[in-house]
Amino acid sequence: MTRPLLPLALLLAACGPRYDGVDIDLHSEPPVPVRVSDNDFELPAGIAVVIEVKPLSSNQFDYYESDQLDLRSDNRQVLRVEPTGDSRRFVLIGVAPGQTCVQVEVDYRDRACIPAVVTAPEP
Amino acid sequence: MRLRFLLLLAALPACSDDYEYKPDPGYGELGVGVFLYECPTSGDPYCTNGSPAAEFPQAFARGGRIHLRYDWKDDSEHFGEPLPQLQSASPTLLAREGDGFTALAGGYAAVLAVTGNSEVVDLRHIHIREIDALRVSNTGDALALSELHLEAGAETILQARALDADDVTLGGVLGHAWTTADPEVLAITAGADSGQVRVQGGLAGDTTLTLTIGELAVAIAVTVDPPEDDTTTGTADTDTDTDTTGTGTTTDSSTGTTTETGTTTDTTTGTTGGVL
Repeated sequence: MTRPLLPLALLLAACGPRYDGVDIDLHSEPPVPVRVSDNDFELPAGIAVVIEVKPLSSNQFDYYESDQLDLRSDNRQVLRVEPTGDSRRFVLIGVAPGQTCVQVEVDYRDRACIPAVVTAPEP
Repeated sequence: MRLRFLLLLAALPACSDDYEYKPDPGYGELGVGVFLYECPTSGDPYCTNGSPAAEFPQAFARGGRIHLRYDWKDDSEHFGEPLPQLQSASPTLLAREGDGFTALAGGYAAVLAVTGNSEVVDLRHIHIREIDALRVSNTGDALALSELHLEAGAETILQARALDADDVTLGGVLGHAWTTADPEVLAITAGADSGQVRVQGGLAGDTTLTLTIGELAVAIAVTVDPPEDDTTTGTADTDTDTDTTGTGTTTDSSTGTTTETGTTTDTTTGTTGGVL
């Protein structure tokens, strides 16, 4: 009985998007320059910026808004990542100078770690 | 010719002078609400009557206490929702203490409006700057006052301003201390530890009024004139003492009204409140 279902299950699994990184855009205007890209973050302590994150797929199936996406900081004493009311927007908050990594979780799986640097406060 | 006239007509609206300045009361950078700057104590140059400041301060003094309140921009879009709590992005720059914040170090520090489920709905950066200079001015006037003339018995209110290196009046509650060198000439009647001080002229004479915040101080020269209709204060009542000691004769003239000249030990000092 299980044998005929196995190909069907494999077929269904293949119909979903295949993770291929994230597209990250700055969505606010901080008073001092910051660097926000798909590959790294750099901002001074005290600064908070809103970013919009879009998971990319390498196959013909795109991610939906309803697909789970979360960002977590490895060290919240250096950088906080907080949610907003929009599931694709997050707030990066420079807490104190240092380096850390921002974990990207898509569909409940850790997919990437984006390096982040928090510099000394801008005078 | 006609074309030139049309071009001139088209350019005229651009030259109109109907721009209306609208102060920023503290709109959040995400456009959801407004961060209102409140003055819980009297004497703040940004909000003198206890209500939120009409304009959000451009910068705040390091060491100052900052009281903020968040309001939705449009209540109808958030009917029944509790107001977000305010958080500091960096406690080393801006520490949350009691019902307000304390500016601890220079730089930009974001204040976050956070809902009960930890979502950031809005934010606003505040600029914390060092106090570069102090200024004493008349209330409602930003110009520096270097000297003050008062009639005996008259009262006036003076405003303290903390300025940054760019001459910007800094927000934040600071520990003010007003002192008068001669309380017989100029008395502090209210606000000795506030941003606004009330002083009253006493005996005719000269003295200084000093404002101190932390390690900075500024002094203004004060002259108290006798009342115009007062003829009893006898500046014409001149005594002439003749000093016959020693060789020769020295004539020393002094006015009879300056009975307490040189008494500088009797100094009134305002208590320093606040955090500086």
